[in-house]
Amino acid sequence: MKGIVIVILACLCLAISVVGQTWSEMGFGTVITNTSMLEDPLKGLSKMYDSLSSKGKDLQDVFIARMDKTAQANGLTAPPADDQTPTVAGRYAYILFVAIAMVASAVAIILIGREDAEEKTVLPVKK
Amino acid sequence: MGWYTGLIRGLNKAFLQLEAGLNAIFTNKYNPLYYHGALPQFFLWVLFLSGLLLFAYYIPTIDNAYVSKAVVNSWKSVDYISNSLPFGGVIRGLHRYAGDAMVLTILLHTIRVWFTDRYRQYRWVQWISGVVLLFMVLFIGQTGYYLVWDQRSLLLTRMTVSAFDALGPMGGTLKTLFLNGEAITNLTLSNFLFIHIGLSFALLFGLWVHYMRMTRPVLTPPPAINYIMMALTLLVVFLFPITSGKMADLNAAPTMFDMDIWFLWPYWLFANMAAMPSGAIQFWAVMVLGTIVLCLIPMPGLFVPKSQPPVSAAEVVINKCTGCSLCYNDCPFQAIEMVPAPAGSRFKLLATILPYRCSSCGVCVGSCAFDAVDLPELTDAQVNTQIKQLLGAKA
Repeated sequence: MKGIVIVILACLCLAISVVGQTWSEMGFGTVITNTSMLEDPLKGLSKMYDSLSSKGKDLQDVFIARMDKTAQANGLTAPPADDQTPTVAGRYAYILFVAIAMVASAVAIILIGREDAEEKTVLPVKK
Repeated sequence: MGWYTGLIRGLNKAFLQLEAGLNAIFTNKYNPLYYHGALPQFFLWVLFLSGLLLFAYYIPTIDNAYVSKAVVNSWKSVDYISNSLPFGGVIRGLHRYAGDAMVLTILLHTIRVWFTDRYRQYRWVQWISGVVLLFMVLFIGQTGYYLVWDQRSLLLTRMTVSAFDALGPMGGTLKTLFLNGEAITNLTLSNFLFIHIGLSFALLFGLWVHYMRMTRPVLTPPPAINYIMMALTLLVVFLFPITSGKMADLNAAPTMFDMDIWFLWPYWLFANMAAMPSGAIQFWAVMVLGTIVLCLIPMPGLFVPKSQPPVSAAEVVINKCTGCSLCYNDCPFQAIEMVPAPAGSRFKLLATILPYRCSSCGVCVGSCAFDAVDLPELTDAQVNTQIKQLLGAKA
């Protein structure tokens, strides 16, 4: 049972790293281009990102709204809505995915290391 | 001091229950409560690495960028880091929140050391060095707020100068040292940057003093805890991204700022006390007296209940000691030294106790095969009697 949980956590960690981090670093829903060597496998990923692009747009809007609110609270005007902003939002989402992957890794490590942690009392046998 | 003993016992009991609960979830190998000293150290490394990255792009000047867009000053360099550099905002947020986390974990460490009584006798060095380290960390964090050079930075700088002004001639010297001159100039920001980085490296020396009297100090939490701490910090960075305030303008007079309670609480205190007559002097009196009280906590007799006097160090029975060095090897506190045996002895070495390091734990008594070490207030006969009583009570 523990082995299954560890495998699930490892797959989750990998999925988050490969899918979530890449997607967010590209600014959500961006089509992958200029990748001639890995074009075929990445086409599949690119299609998936495209299908999620509306969700990515929603995430961007939520994050940009939060940044605007913080900036206005500090007396600044809202940052310009230029090409940089989605990428900035994506980078913050990237660290969220990193955090989730780290927690999954930590739980897997704790599960693996659990047995070593149990104190075993060795009683000397009288001969 | 009955209420004090009751408080300590109550806190101990509550934390033991929390420990038991966390042990059931994490096991004792990964229980974060067992690494309360190592956690601030972990955040210190995060601060060093993130600070190094920020330092690569930071420019410590106050030139008025309102005059010309071509002028690059501290605020603009921080703005460039946050909004233009890839992951610059993330690194900046990580640096800021790792600092807050470091102060939080230091306070948790202090509280736990206090109510588990681990500051007594020879551990006074760790306690006093810890108080010094805490104030160093607080000052380093405050200089970090000055470096952004937004309106908050300007207000904090002016408040610090006001606080120094209350100290008379000594305050004038401190003010000149603080500003690196008589007024706020580019040299002031260079000074702040020097203090922020230089004092951070001085922390390493302070930590050496803090660790050197410990035996086998745990400096690094296990990787699983490091991942969780890093994940929590990144989550906070995601949820509360950092932005600067408006760029500082020396012609303006800001009066309010966004408070970070972990580092800026002295400014909150000063702001509230300065309005009173002689408020600034009272502020300094509170800060200095508070520091002295903190440093006096390990003083014997001050907080130790009279019913529990400090235990005496172990003693070596000279005519029984064979110099085998078992006690020397087993002592967890390096409180035993092997010295040449006196002339005429059959043996080469003799064990000697260093009383200022001894915590009377009794490990040496157990390790000695010749009954040559004893605790004067807890002899073997007394221990055996207590064990028999406990066994009898349990039956």
